Amino acid sequence: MAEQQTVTISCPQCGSPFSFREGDRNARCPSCGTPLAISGEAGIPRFWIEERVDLAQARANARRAVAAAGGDPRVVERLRFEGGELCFLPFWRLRGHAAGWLWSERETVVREEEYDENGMRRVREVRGPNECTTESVMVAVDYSSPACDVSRFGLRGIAVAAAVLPLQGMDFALVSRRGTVFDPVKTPDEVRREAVAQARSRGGGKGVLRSAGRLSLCGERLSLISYPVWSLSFARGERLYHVTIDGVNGRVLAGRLPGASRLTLLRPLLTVTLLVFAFTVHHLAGAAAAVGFLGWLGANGGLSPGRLAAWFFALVERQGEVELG
Amino acid sequence: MADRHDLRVIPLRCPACGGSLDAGGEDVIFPCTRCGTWHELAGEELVLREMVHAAGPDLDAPPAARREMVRLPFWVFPFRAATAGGEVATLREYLALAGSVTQFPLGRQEKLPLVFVPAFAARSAALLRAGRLLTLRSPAFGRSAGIPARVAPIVFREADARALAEAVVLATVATERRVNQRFLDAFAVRCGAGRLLSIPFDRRDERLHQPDLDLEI
Repeated sequence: MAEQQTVTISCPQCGSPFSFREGDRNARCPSCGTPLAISGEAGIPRFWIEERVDLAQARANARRAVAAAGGDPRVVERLRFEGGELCFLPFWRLRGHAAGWLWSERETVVREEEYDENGMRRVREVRGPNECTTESVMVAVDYSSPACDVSRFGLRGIAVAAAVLPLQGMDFALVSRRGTVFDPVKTPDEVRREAVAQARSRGGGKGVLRSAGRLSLCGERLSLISYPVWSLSFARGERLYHVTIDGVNGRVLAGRLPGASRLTLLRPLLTVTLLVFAFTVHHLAGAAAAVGFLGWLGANGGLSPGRLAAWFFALVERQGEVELG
Repeated sequence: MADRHDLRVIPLRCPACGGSLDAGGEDVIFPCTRCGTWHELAGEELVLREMVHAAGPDLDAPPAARREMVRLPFWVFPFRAATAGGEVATLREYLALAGSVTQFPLGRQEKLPLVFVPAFAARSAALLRAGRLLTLRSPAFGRSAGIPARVAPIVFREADARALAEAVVLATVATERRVNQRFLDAFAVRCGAGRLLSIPFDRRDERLHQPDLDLEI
């Protein structure tokens, strides 16, 4: 995410609205000049991003995405819309520094010069002694991670589009009326551990054989951002299909919708006609045709009462489903 | 009129004199420009933080000889270091660990060593370098009676500085010890109570120079 996300609030002293950068600890009201410290519950400010796509647009985007993915537009039109829910998914954002030390042992290469009997110089590279280095480090950390399992929504990180959008201070009453606010499951300590692990993994490089390190966070600024995602349900017959749509840019994040269907009237009719014809020619020919048909069916998908029933009575066959996102 | 949101917006007024505290976007300890005190936000309360100002030509020279200097804030901690060879608890033992040949008066050598951790914002490499150089020099500054007009903003809390202290102390340790993995596994720095100290620096060709220590950062 970009550094310049802004948050607009009102000054508690004079009521004038003013903006500050997300991640800033303090701001100054431009109207009355009061310096203000900005914090949140347990020192963690919570923000939310307002949705820019409404339910109708989200539905239209889902249907368009199926057509774009090669699905049958007639099938999509016949899908029954069951409902949609706006979900606000939580994401942690942690910035600061990871300070400590990083140790590494790396292999070295030594160039050796040799001269053969003709006086020709040859240079060859041989492995030298391993080299150990320890660095005191202080690396900038800017880490963002989902605060709960958002894999079913198909969202791995906050979209780039969100970087330029203004954030708003979290108002549970207001945001809960718009949609379902998901609470964070991942704890701040887990986020800190992940951020430190990510900072540690930046070390290494070419020729590193072993590495170790001890880093701890300092100057941390942790915030929680709720991001809007539409969760839509469609039905076809008895079956439900779910699609998730990014609430900011309308992109389809994940989902599965039915593909095209086709009538299979010819298949049972042809089978019955052929068998009847074979029996009318000769009863042995009929028996051979019946055995041949059952053998072929057994070899292609198995021979069971269900399979036989589907062959003769399922007159509509569904094609594969269209995966979105 | 307050917004309807769960953010806590706390006006920063000096609890001592009621004046506005000077607070930049990332500052964590705020000076009062009116009464010269320093305050830190603990929860929703502003608590007093003592800042010691090192004597320097900007505050303690005769008025005609005073010059403008940049005051940089540092956290100063007495510390003990655990190493594979035992605990380092005196300045003498620390200097031996660091491979330094600096001589100090006998009485001072037996005191706890001090680690200087920058509290101001700068590039990471510059912060580590400033902390390493000051810690190695272990300077004893005189205390100024004056109050500087301005000190560089403080962006690291005491807890942040403690986290940084181990990196600073390790950066001063002799290289042959530092590269030993067994040494590193056992190495740990435990800091005592921290004090805030402002140290005067001269601007010199885009760098900062401490005249008493002849130290450039």
